[in-house]
Amino acid sequence: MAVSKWVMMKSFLLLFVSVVLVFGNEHVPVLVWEAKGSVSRQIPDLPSLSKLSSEEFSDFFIKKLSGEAGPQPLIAVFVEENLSVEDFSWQDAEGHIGFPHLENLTSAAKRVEFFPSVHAPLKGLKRLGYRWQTLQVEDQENDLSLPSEGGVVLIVKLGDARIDEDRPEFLKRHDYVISEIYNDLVAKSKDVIALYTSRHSSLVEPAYEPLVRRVRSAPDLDENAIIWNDTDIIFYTTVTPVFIPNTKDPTKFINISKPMCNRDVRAASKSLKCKFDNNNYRLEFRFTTVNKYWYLNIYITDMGSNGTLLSTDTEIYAPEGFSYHCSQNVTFKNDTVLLILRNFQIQPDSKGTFDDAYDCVWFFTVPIWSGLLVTTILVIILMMGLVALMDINTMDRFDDPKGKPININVSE
Amino acid sequence: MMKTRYVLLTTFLTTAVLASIILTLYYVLTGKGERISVAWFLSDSSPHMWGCIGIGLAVALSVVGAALGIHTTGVSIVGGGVKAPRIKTKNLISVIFCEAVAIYGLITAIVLSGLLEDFPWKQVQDNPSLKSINWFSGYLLFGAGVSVGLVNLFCGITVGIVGSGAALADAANPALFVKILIVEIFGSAIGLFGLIVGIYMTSKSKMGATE
Repeated sequence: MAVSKWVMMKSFLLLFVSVVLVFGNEHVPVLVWEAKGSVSRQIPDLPSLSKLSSEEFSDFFIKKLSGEAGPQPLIAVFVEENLSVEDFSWQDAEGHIGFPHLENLTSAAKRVEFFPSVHAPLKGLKRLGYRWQTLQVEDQENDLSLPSEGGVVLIVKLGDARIDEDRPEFLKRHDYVISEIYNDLVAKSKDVIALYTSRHSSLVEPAYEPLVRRVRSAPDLDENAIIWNDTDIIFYTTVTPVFIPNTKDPTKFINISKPMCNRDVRAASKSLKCKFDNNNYRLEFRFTTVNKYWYLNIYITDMGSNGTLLSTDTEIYAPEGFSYHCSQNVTFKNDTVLLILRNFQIQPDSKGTFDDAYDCVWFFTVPIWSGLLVTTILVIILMMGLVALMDINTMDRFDDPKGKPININVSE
Repeated sequence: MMKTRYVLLTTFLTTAVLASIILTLYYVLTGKGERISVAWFLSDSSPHMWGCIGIGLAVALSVVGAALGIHTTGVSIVGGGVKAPRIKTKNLISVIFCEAVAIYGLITAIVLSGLLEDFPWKQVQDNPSLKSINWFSGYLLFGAGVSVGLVNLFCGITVGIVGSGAALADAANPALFVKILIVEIFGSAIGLFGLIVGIYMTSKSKMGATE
């Protein structure tokens, strides 16, 4: 064989997997209606699940047809190749639906049920145990041998589309064929239950519903968002900053979620000055630029005194054109004042929105790098040891292929 | 079918090169190139890691060198001794030279372990001169360990190969042994150099909370 066995096996496996995936989980719609003259049947409970398996569908049918002593009905199943729920709800430009004859039939029917999502309905019908008869119908044919007695499941396979017709025309043609055959059947036998379904879904369904709500438009501003900004300086946080003006009295919090902020540019620095609590306190975010990096220092002015620096142990800085983001607690304090920021992002030279952020937590932290270094050293040593082990060979210099094998007597 | 070692080597190298290229390009092309900072790694990584790696490599590499040396020379002594049993006692001196190399590594590791101390992290972060002394000591321990280890590794291999030649030459002609021993002594001396440098380096090391 020109193609190697391994490649053949792989391609068969791929084909098998794709076939299983395609057929494995298909759900098709089923429209069920009973003819006007059919026998009154007990109405079973409709299954409440949105997707029915083959067994559940056949259970519903068996319950529907059970408990009657009279003749069994004729079940006519009109089978397309592809059908889906969207085909039933399709309308053309004037608002006419895609199945006008079917609409008439179902409005005149005794009882109509619609299952939008059933897996393998035909397989389920086989469990009824009725006689099975199949018909292939291309177009309107006059000499079809339609059964007239009950106890038969008649499968009417509707033909394929022509080359030049599109899907709505194709379905309309089938719709006409269905109504003709159905009327012929009802004329012969009063007790008819008709189904309209298909073998495969005409649209590919996703395998599962996504569990995460996808945001389809720009989200509205979070009510919890606190934004202090002025032209190009933006400070954003989702958690109200904790501000304690006098740490000797730690229960007195000042609410600083809605200050008045304005921008102030000096020779050596740029600041965002925010006043709150009736001008009693003023926080100044002062940005200085050194070597194309901006650094943030926070100063507090309260009740007349000059601005005093709030020191912190995590230095807040980023290059020009980047913002700084931190989800951890960042504490700014001096002897009396305590300010804690959390979940915040800040940038002094933005263009309306934040640029890429430098995070306070690195992706590869120092311990990770140290661990990688030590692991690399150990792995190299391991590899050298393994190679040395593999170099141990049996001594075969004195082997004699034609010699007699050695017999060793094992005596008890 | 290529040899397994070359397959392993090429896989490892290709993965490492590819990973580093992709990561580096990501950082450079998003403008965050300065985040790849060796200075940040060196100044934030613990000196204990460097010290312990140094200690480990000192004893491990020395013993590997001694083991390879004894393997080489031992095999020759055993093989040559089959036909000339008189060589077996005299040639043990080669094995002793190899063993000495392992002892150098052991001594260095013990001395280095004595210098490894704990230090209070917070105090070190606040005090730059204390931090610099501790980091200095960490790198000293690493450097001393690596230098002693690598020197002893190659010294051990050398003494082993020379000793193996000496054993086989002695088996053929007993007059040759003494002269070949001189070659072996020179080979052993280089192991001493590593020990001296290592001990001298560690004399400056001082870890802990006091300056």
